[in-house]
Amino acid sequence: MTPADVFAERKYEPFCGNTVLATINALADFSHSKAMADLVIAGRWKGELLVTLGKVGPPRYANFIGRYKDDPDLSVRQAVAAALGLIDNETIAVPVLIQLLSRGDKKEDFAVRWEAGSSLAKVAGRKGSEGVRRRLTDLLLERNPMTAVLAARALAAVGDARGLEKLRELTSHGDAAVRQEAVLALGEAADTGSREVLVRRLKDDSLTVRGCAIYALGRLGDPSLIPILRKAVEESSGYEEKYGLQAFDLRETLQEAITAAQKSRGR
Amino acid sequence: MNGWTGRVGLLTVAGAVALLAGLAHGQDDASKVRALIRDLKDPDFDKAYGAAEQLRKYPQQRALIVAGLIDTITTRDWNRCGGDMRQTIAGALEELKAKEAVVPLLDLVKSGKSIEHECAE
Repeated sequence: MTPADVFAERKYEPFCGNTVLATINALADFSHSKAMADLVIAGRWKGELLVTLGKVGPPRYANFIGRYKDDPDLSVRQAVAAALGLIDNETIAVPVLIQLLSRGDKKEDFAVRWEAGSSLAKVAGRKGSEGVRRRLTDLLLERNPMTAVLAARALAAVGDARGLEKLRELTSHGDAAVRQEAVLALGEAADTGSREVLVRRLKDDSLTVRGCAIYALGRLGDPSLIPILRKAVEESSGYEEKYGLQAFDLRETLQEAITAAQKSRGR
Repeated sequence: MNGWTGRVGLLTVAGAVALLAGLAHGQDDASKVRALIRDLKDPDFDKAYGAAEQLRKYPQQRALIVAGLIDTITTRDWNRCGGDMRQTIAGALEELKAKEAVVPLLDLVKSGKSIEHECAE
């Protein structure tokens, strides 16, 4: 397992394994919105159909989709988060997405919060999105550090310097889970300005964070970092021997990082 | 009849023969597609699945195939793996970009028939 696998696992794929619903998603248009909403009300395939509604539904359907934000089924809440990133109704979608991003501290809530962050990044990437960027900037001051990380990630994804700056700051947070997410998000953004803070994380107390730093530095596409990454993995092997295997396979992570750095040299 | 008129006459005959051959070929394909759609409706899963695969070979018979696929997916059932069969047919409809299939597919979802993967193969 490597940090790249974590991203692959987090990728929301509602239609994986159901070709009937995937076909509806591929072929439906706005004229099918009412029929899909009726099926959702009847409780049939709520998550999948909400995503398709988000994709093809007229903007007024954002209200309908938002009604399911408190659904007891996690996959439906995740679908709401994804669908509101697709529909063109910032006024309705953004407050619901902010709520989905900010709430829940249980492990299983994270998938919904992550998806809400991804959708906010999509909305923030559209033209005239100052409103959502302002809302995300406000979240950077949240007391819950995971909320701040996710908001910063959304801002960083659209190249907003405030997001990148916050992520760099959170790489030294006291909670290893927060450091891990901040480092992963900087890697996702492939932010060359974060090179120094990421190199510092190669000596993190948590081997999981070190693994994320190796991944993130590989994403910078700088072959001159390869010897530093090799050294970091060598130094970490003593830790592994002492405490057993950690969340990530550091050698495999290193290999992926080297491949990424070398690929960029070939470009 | 001069040489020019003769050549035109020959070309016309050749064109007509080619057109008739093409029509005959098209009719031949159409009857093959009709037979495959009959097999697709067969309750035997293996026979139906085989027919679904074969239908991919006749994209020029789109109208006939789409109508057959829609009728089959909404009305038929199979001796096993019904959900898998419906997924296979839905996949074919997507490949054919058959927008007219959306309403019948939504009706299928509403019907509560299985649309889930059921079998190992």
